[in-house]
Formats: sequence, C-alpha cells, structure tokens
Amino acid sequence: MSIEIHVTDDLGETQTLTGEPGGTLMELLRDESSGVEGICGGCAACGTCHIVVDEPWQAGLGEPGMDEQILLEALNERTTGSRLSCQLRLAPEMSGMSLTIVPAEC
Amino acid sequence: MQKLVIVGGGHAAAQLIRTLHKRGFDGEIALITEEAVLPYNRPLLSKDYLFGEVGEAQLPLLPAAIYDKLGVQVHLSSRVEEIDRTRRCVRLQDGQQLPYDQLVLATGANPRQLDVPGCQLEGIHYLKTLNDARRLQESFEPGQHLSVIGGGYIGLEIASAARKLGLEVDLLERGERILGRVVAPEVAGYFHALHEDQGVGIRTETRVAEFLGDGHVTGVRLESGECLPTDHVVIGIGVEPAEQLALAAGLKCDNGILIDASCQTSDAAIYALGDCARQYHPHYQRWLRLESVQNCTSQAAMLASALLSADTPAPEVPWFWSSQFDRRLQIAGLNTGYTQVIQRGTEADCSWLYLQDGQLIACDAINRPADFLQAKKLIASRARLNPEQARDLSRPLTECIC
Repeated sequence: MSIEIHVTDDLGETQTLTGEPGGTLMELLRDESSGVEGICGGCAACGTCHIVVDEPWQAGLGEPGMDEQILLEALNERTTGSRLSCQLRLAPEMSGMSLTIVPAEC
Repeated sequence: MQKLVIVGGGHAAAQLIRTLHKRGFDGEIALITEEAVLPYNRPLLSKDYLFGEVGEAQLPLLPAAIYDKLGVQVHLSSRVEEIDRTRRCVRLQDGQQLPYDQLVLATGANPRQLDVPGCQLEGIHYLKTLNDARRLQESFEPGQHLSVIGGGYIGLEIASAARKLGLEVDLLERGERILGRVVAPEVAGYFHALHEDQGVGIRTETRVAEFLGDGHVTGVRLESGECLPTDHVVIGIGVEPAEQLALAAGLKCDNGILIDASCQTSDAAIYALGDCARQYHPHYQRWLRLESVQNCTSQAAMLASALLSADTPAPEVPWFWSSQFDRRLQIAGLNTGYTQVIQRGTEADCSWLYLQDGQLIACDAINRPADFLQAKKLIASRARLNPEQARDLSRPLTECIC
C-alpha cells in the first residue's frame, strides 16, 4: 500500500510524494525532494533531515526518542511539530500527512 | 545526448547520482564499479552492521527506482583499465569501450597495507567493502581473541563492535597515543580510558614484527620480541587515495587527484570527488583531501552544478562522526594548527573546543549534539570564544563569543 505525503520543500515548492511502508520518511524526502540531506544515514547524528509536521498529524506520530529529542533541542529553527524525519518509519496511517522541510542549519 | 561516465561505486558516486536525479539531469549515465553490488553505506560496516544491529537490506544508498528513472547503465564487477583522453572514452577489463562527454572519477581510497612477514595468512583482514565486513561477521565468535592493528577511528570502531560481540580485544598502536593524527592528547586520553574500561587492551608505541601461524594466523610477534596469541587480526592503518587511473592518464595528482572549486581536474572533461580528490578549501586556506560522507555530499552538489551549468555552491565546514560503545563523537572543523584546547564538561558527555589564537577552528563533541551544531556555525563565521565562558556548561556556545 502506497503512502502519500504532501511536502513543502526548502524552495517553497509543494508536491505529493508516494512511499512504501518500511522505509524512513528521511529516505523518501532525501531521494525525491529538496532540502533533506540525511548525511549520517539515519542515526540521529547530524540534524540534516529536520521537518515540521502539520498540526493535525503531530500527535499520531508519538513522542521523539531520547536521541532525537537531544538533537532537536540543539536546532535553532525548532518549533512545535519539529521532527527528524530519519526517526519516522513510513506507515499506512501517515498517508495524507503534510509537512514542511526545514533547510539544514549552517 | 550528454554522456556521463562515473567510475567508482561508493558514497561519492551514489550521492552524485542522487543529486543529478533530484536536479533533473537528462543525460545518459554509466556507472562502473569493481564491486558486485550497487553503492552501499560504508560507514555502517565498522559499526551497526558489524555488531548485527543493521542488516544488509538496510545498506543500499539509493533505491533501485532512482537507477531506473535515470536509466543508469550499471557495470558491476567491472574495472576501468585506461582512460583515453584524446578519444574521450574509457576501456574496461573486458575490452569494452565507453565513450564520455564528461568523466567522473569517484574511485575512493584503499586501505594502506601492512607489509610484514606472515601478512598473507588467513584471518588477517582489512575493512573496506561489504565482503570484508561479511567475512569478519562470519568468523568472529564470542570468547575468541582479536588483535586490532592501528588506533585510528576505524580500529577503535572495530574494537568496540568486537567487544559488543563478546570477543577479547587488544589494540596495537605504533604512535605514542591512539588517534594521534586527529585529536588533541586530552581527547585521545578520553577514548583510551573508555576503551580500557570496556575491556580493550591498548598498547601504544607497539610495532608488529611478524604474524605467526601456519595457514591461519595464531599470533602477533611484536618488535619487542613478545608474542601475543590471537585468532583474528584486523588492520586499520589509514588509506591511500585511488589515483592510479588518473596518474596514468596524466591528470595532476598530489596525494589525491587535484580538483578546482567545481571538482574539475586538470582535464576540463574529467571531474573527481570524494576520498580520491584533493581540493583547495577557502575557509582553511589550504589543499585538503577529506575522507568523509559530508565531503562526498558537498562535492556532489558542486559537481552536479558544474554538469548542469548552475552556480557552484560554496564549500562547507568539514564534519565527521564516529560511534564507539555508547558514545557518539561528532567532529566539526579541522584542528590542525590549534593553539589552545578547552574542555567543556568532565563526565561521559563533554566537548573539546580547539582555538587558534582565540578563534574557534574545530570541536570534538561527545554525546553533545548541541555543541556540535553550534560549533559548526561558529567555525564558519570565524567566531572568537571566551575560554572561561565556554567551559561553563550552563551557557550555550553561541553565548560565549567575544
């Protein structure tokens, strides 16, 4: 089953991406949109996959884990709904979610 | 149609393909790699893959769909024998010739070999490829003894993974301390203590004279004459840039293929990036050959811009990471030439800040990602830090500028 994610990238462009369950959201964004680098490959070490999830979808994603929490706190642009997309695994219940990519800091 | 040929199947090649895909490159791409598999995540091999946290399915760097969409012609288990610059084509080991409009050398680096008697014995390993990592994983059994030769990042990561797998580990380092080339003595001391606490036996100023064994390695004889029994050896004593192809083609090389700000070599139709390339870095005002994922990403963006005739992005402050046991080390900047080191914190989680005449040039942050991210920005802006304030953990680094 495909999962549709509505993405506003770092250039302000909006598009709908289609992913499959199992992979991480970071991988989908890194490969198909602009602004997510995911340089560390998904181990919550670099903060280059920062996104802001639209309000209605925030609660359903669960709380960030410890590693993610620590790194998010270090980001200047952090706001309500900030997540590291490498820590979110694509799941059917995410289909329809909207998010905005925050450009990598520095 | 524009014909692009990429030689090498590591991070640099994969990141270039990803960037070209995202930016709508519409030429023909051929990828030539000596390995039997498509580009995969090498940094994980000495870490999560080795101790079984991550499986092979999670290693590929690009989804198959990207190769398909771009129509990449993939040549696995293939080697380029020669570059013919006049005719603009490369010749493969099977005689096949591939013409190019632009050629990209993403040939990486190869482990430096330790040439001592017995170095060909079974059970003596290097770690570069997935095959190397598979062999280590298959042969390591709990309770066995591993000798790691070389106290750099790769050696320390392998020692850490092997301890997690239940092996006894000794690490032999030729220099007077581990990580001698890359960190300050204080930081080396931190990692030395961490590894000893976790049961790794570290011997510095120790040189290998010979590997002992009949068929399979059974011991290491040191130059002091002492013999250490062992079941496995992994050698991690640095890498050398894979520049032979470039040299043979007459491209300018000097500890790496020399490239300009757009990753172009001394031949305007040939580019290079990643571990094999050396580029002038305006921030540090010297020529650098960096061995890192971040460097591949940064140079792939420069190279893609050149191929698409777009503006070249400026180089970033280099950064790196390592993980050993439960510690995550993040390194921002290069510390060469530092005049002062400030320790920020004393427990497991701490950072070291390298200053050059007051200016922040590098930071080693252990489990302190906030320091790492802030240091990266402060380094780029050539900020000067107040050392007293920077030692105060309650104060963010960004508020220690003077």
